[in-house]
Amino acid sequence: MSEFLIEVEHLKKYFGPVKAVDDVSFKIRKGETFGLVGESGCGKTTLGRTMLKLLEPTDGRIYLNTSLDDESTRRYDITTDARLRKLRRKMQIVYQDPASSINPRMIIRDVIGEPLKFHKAVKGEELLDRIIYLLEHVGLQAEHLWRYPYELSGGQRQRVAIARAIALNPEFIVLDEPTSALDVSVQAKILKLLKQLQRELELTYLFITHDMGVIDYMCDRVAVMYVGDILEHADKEQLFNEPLHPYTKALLSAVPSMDPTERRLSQAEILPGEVASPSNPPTGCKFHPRCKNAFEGCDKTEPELIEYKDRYIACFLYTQSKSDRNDEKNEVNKI
Amino acid sequence: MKVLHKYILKRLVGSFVTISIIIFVVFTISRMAGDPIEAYVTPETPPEIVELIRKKYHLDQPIPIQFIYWLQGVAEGDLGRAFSRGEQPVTEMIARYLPYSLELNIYSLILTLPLSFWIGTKAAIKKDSLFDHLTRLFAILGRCLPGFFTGLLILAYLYPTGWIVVDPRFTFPRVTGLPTIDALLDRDWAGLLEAIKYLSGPLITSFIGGFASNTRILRSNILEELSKDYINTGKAKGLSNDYVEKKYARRNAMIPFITLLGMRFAGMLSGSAILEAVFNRVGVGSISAAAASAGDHNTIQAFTMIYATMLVLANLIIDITYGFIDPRIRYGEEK
Amino acid sequence: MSQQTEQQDISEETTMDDWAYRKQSLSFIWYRIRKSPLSLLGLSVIFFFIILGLMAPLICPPNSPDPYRMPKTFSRLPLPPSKEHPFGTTGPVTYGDIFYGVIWGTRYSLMLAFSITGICFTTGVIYGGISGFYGGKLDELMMRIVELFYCLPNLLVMMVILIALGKRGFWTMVIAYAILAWPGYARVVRGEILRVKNELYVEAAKSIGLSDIQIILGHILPNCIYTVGLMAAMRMGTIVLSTSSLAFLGVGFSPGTAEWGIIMSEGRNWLLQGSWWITVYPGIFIAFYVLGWTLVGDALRDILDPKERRKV
Repeated sequence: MSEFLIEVEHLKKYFGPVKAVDDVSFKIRKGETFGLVGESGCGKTTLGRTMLKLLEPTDGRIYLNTSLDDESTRRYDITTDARLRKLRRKMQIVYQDPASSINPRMIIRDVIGEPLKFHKAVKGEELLDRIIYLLEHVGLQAEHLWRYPYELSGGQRQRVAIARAIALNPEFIVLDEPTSALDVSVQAKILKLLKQLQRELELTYLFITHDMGVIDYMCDRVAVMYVGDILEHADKEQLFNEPLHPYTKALLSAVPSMDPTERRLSQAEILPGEVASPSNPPTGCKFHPRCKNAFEGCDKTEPELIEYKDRYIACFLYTQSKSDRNDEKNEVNKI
Repeated sequence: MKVLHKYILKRLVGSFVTISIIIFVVFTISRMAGDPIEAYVTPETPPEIVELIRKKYHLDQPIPIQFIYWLQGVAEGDLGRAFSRGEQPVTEMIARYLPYSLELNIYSLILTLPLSFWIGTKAAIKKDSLFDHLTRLFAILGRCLPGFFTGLLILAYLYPTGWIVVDPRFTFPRVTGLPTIDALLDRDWAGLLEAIKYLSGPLITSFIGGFASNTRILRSNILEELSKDYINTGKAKGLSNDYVEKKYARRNAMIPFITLLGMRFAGMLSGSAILEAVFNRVGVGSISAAAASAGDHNTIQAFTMIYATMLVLANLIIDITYGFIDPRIRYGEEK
Repeated sequence: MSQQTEQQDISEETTMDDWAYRKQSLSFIWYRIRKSPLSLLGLSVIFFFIILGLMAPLICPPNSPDPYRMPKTFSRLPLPPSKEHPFGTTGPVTYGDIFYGVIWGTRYSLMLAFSITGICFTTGVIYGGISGFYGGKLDELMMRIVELFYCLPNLLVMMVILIALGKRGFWTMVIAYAILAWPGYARVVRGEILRVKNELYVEAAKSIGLSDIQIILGHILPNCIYTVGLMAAMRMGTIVLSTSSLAFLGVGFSPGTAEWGIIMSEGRNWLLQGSWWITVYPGIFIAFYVLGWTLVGDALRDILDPKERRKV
């Protein structure tokens, strides 16, 4: 059927005047790791949670292409489907803060066992075996069954969260900055674990982060988000080698390099001003007040996310808006 | 300042509604606790007279209508007659007895709060010292002994010494109604001493109870503040322990202090029936208790109205003060 | 094959741990209790009172159909403590034996406290639970009603209710008190639920697909219950303070009942004439009773707290 596991169409999530997610569309292929990167407050966490309908979308649709109950694969509309509960088996989430995403009063055995028990996936003796199996699969031991979350380290807790997420053999996992709260050495281990699990269990990931280095390691495709909008969306290699959107360029220039011969940090582009406010964004392109390439017309209408060469981009430098035909600067036409 | 104004206005309206509802509820209940006509007649009263009285006090109308008549009366300053004290107008009764309770409350407030604050903070700062342990001991004991028990003990010990007076004879003219003030105004020093002795028993008793609970609360609040990070930052910056504690901790501990103050304020026009019973003191507490026993609805309503109004007012002032101090609160209302 | 037996061995090992685990957590709690002398004191006091209350019929066999009436010993003045009357008598008006009154008073107070707390706790949890969980307009409305209760002058209204209910006695007091006390519980429960509702692990539970009820029962309630339980423990003590105060004023119980407060109400007049036993013995019992519960409450709070603090 479709090569895409998840399709997001014109998703919006507003909290009153705050437009956390402002008309976002993209598709994720089966088996790939789709990265979502942006600064704090750009709406990426909200997007992740809304995609799983943990938050009620203000508008838009989310589709999951999967099969339920031995039926054939078909397209399910998560936003409206009545069988959401069953669909939830297919999609899970791992949160950024393992301390608050696990019930502090439950022992690990119950934390991991809960989804299994609820969906009646396994029973009795098998249940404990499966829990131990999951624990070992994420790098913990059977003795951890009886511990409380506060008795484990941050890295261990995150492993528990991962074990809980894979317990029901989902197809899709949203990873919301799963390593941001951890020590750097632990980060590397967790990322390796995630990659390994992806291979073994044929998982599809939406990886949310603000760290470009992690994106480089984990992701196949990347979307760059700013104040509720996706500004650029491309294959990782293309994005890193040839960033087109001014914002992407600035983000990448700020990544410190381990190579002492690369003097990139001193050439880091520091964006003027501050991140725009989602409740009162600038008119037109939300990034324009900070953009050194901004020109007349950038403040009039919002650029649409349009296919350009090998990627999607929302920037007037590369596309024409509907109402604005600027002959001076662009030699680029819509493909 | 507009946000603050909106906030205050909202609170005012809400308070008004609350008071009205409370009064109505109490009105209804007290009228249901037996036929109110019984208050005005005896079994021998001829039926025609009973009917006349019924009509006079609107007792033949449905309760909401009676309520409106009562409200009318309130607006004109007529709260009805207190038949539990022989047909005396309620307003007169309140004017006579309220000042005594007011006096006790004011002195109790002045005595208790500053002392609890000072000692509570000191105990928190010198945690686990002898001072701290003694304070906590005293605080716990003060709370465990019932008010009337402490009162009785004090009565037993101090009455024989003459430091407590249960049957005062005042010769100074009544100006404000508060014995100590009136004695002062008249320069009647003997009378002043008498007034003080009349106060001493209830004052000491109420001090013990109030001090115990207030100190406990304040101490735990300050302890909480002291464990917060900004205290350590202050100390790390090089500020002396003393300075940090005095300026930072005390200031932030003021907030629960304000709540305590507010609650005390709410009770300013109420009396303690227990203290009055133990020390034979005149005041609003025993009056309202007697009224409640006798089913004297006019008095009951009057006191409920007073209490509810004071409480709502106190809450209002507290809220507004917080609104001033903590901007988060008034902006929080906007969501 | 061998892997399977390995798996079996592991699960056998850990299944045995299930009991070991339960034992372990209990012994840990006991350890914490032991470490704090004050909580031990509190627990012992309460334990003592409960035993006393249960054994009342054995210690002071009643000789009338209503065991809560003190047996009479007629005399012109209250009798001081003696062999027949270890705590003395109350003398004219009720002529009650204070020892009997105090022992059966223990039982009475415990019954009052447990009944009132039981009713308030249940009502509060249900009311606050609904209000907190569903939020929105319903929550606003329900909390307005709770606020209303808060604005009532407690003593006054309780007396009005007591008079309205008519006859004095145990259940009258329980109902009158419970009517005014349950909003306090509801408010705390609602506050806790609001706090927990927004925790991440509740959303995580939702992501697994759990239904609302399961989330409430399995995640929200267990994390809320402790604060409310603590409150209940503290209140067990203060309930008796209030009821005995009311009794002292002569409200709610008839003179001659085996209740600490009402015995003390007679004591006032005799106190200044030297008959201290009428006031002191019941008073001491009240004080220790409240002390016990206060210490237990403090101990509970300490047991719960460090658990949170130990979070890395």
